[in-house]
Amino acid sequence: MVLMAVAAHALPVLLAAQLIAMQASARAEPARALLKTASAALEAGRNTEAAEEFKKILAIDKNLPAAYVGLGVALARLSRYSESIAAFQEGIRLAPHNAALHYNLGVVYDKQGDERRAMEAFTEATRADPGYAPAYFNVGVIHQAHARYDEAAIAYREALRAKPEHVDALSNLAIVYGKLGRFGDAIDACDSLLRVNPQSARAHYTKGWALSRLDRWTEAADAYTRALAIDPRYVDASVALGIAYSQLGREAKAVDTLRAAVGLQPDRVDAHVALGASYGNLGRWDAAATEFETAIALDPRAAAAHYNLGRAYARLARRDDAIRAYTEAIRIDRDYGEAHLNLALAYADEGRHAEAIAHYKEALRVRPDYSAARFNLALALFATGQRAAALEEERALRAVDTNLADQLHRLISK
Amino acid sequence: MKWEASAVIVSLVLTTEVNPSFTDVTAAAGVAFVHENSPTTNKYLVETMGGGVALLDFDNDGWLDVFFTNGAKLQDPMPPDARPVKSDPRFWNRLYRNNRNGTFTDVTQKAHVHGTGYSMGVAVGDYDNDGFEDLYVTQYGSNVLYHNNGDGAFSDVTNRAGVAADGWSSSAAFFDFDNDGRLDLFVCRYLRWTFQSNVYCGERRPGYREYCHPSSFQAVTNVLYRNNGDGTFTDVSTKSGIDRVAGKALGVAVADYDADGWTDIFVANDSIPCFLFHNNRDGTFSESALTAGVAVNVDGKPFAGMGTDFSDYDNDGRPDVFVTTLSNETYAIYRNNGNGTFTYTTGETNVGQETRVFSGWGTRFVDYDNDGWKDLFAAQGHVLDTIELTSDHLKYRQPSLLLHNEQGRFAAVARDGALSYPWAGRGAAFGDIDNDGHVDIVLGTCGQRGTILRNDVGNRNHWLALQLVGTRSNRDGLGAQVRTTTDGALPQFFTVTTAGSYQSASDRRLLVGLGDATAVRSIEVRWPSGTVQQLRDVNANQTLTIKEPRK
Repeated sequence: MVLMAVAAHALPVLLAAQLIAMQASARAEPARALLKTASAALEAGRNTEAAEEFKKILAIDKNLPAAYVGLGVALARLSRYSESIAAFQEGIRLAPHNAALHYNLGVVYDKQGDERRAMEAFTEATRADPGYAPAYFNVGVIHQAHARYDEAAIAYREALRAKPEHVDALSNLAIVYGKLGRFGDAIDACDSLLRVNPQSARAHYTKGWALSRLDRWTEAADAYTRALAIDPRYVDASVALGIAYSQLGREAKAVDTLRAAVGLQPDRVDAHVALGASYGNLGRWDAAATEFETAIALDPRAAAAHYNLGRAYARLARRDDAIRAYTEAIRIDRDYGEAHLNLALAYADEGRHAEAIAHYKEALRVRPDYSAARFNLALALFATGQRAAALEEERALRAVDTNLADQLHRLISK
Repeated sequence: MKWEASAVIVSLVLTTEVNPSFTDVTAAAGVAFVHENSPTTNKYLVETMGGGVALLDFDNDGWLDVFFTNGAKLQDPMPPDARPVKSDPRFWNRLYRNNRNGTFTDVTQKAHVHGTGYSMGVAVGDYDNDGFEDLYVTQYGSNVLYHNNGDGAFSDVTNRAGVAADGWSSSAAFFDFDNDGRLDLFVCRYLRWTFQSNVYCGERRPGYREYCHPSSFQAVTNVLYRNNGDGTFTDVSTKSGIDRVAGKALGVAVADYDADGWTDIFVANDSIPCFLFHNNRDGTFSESALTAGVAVNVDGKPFAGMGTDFSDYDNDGRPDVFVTTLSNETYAIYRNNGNGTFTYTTGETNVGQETRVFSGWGTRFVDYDNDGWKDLFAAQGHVLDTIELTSDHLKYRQPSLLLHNEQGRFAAVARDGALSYPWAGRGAAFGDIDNDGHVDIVLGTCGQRGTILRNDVGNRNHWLALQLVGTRSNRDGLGAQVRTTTDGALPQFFTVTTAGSYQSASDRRLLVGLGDATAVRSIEVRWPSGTVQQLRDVNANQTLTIKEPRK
């Protein structure tokens, strides 16, 4: 899954500042003046100073909810969560229907890992203000994180009802629809946003992503291209467009696009892997290997990069290196069936039949219906004189793939 | 093998509420044909081609009969100068006569059509206008023309007619390119290949040898034979300009795409640009696929064109082009713009999405549910019988494709029953075998049994079957253009043809789906002779024979 950026933790500051501006009490002139000073400090990220200023305001006027909002946000930014929670709770005691207080309390709970309380606080925020989009959004994020996609979709739809141009809600809704297999709905959601905001690069990107899940690669490439026309430095879109070109068989364009992506963000592992794959599809094995090696240098635990590197090495007749790469992929992910099969084939090429057989069997442990693994296992067994076992594998293969079983039969019955 | 990038590909199949319910009635019909491609470890390219199918009424009893082409025995390896051998009856081509009760009888021997070589495809047409359909069988080696004697038997008249061709032929089409009332013959030739020029392709590992890509072999020219009217033909490939371009032709379909009254030719080439031979009305053709926009896909890339149809899918009165291709290419559909050019509509018609992982062969626009819109069927199966060894998501045997036409956009129909069975599909012929007004399908395969799919949709939509009989035009009426009009629906447009699909020939009768209309307000027939014939207020649910006025 291409995970969209979830912006739950970026929202409180802005909200607090806006609220302060809106709710500045006219009760006392000194407090009003201090609120402006405190808000400016908070907006500028001078959190310690802001906290002290809000405390001074509350010393003058304890019944000013906006000051509790500002104080809680400043303390949260300073990771002083207990004090922050206390500030929000005091504010809520004074103003139980202040959505911003509930919302920000929920964000702090979430930062502490207390999702239950966070969810309660966000829900309270929506009760206080049924049009409070950020709270619905974060409810959706929590549901999504726990794979409760139906509930997440409901929350995101509420966020969009409250704020139709909520790009993050739209993006996540599209992903949730994708998880639910409702790619058409995801595309519709993107189209809805694009009607409101045709310049939303994120919406174009998300639409492309949904289209790609439907194998509509031509349209997906078009959507990614639109995203990049709006934001040429949109690396996610650049990588996705490269992959789309590759899927469309336009490998030269894929290489150009992916090279641009790694130029924009050289530490982007998936871009290097995709670029390597495109080089591989063009038969440029050296260049492919270089990209996979770069990906591995950036993330040594990228099993797919090790596996693809092994395949590139195999094409370059660097069999020992290939074996090492496949072995590393398996060390990282012991259930990497394709790596087991390719390692087995490399061993078979070296005449190391026992090791080959062991890895064919590992591939079949991972995927019992892996017909290519069973086909080769049967051949290896036959080559090592284990005719009865080979015939047994032929029978098993016939249950899943009669065509390959016929092919195998011709080879081992000659 | 395609490399796996970071994106995970998930294919979804969208379904509609229409449930087609085709039933495999092959066994019940008593048809026991099995295609024998004689697979070898040398992976001779001919083994991949599979068999063609023809649906024709060879005995004029009003019921469609079935003809299958078959391979021949190959040695592994083939010694120099050895030829494929067809003597064993399991390699024979087969003709099945329709018993008019849902069963068929194998009449191959009586009809003398068992054949001689490694057969590929079949074309059907009454080339001598004697009222009996004749057969042309394409082969690796020389082709065979069977004259229908009218007594249940055929005679091999190849040498007298002069239509043997040579090399490797695939599909063929009878049509009247010069509108002289006699059927001419276009023969697709695939490529330059012999058993001795076969090369090793694929990984050098036991079991991984693959059939070679056509790029390993040279292109060849196609052949056009002009019917002399005396039982003989003249090779006019050079004179007509057909042999000015060399291709790797697998499929051919014919229609008058620019409405000038002269039949044009579309040829699906394997991995090189397709051909569109525009009929210059003077006995010559101009290859114009690139300028017309049907040579390549939207990216300007050629594809592995295999089967094809040349028919009006959007009911705008103009024949469009459809081509089946290899997996990862998406099938190609081109809408006729009405100005001599076409627009690639694979994306907007949803055809691309539904076909990307499949490899298609025999195909045709057919209105299987008689709702007045031609749907799309394709026989499917990958060309490489080792594909599962090198791809995780592609299969050698694939279910058939049926896309429902929803006013010009296609939606996959739920694959159930016979449509869900995985075939190494190749040829496909279309026609109403049981005369119930619903189009049935006969599948040819590669190394599997032939299959009759009976249309059991069973909806209440009305229909009209039209059988044309030419007098001044060729007797089969091939090339006639028919326009039907019903109340409350767009007019429908048809070209009478047995050609199209892949290595196959379909019934020349037209089946017109009428939806809930109980009558056709008007039928207009534009005969190849130039005669225009009008019929009005024709009742539905009947087979109507339309005879061309003599004057």
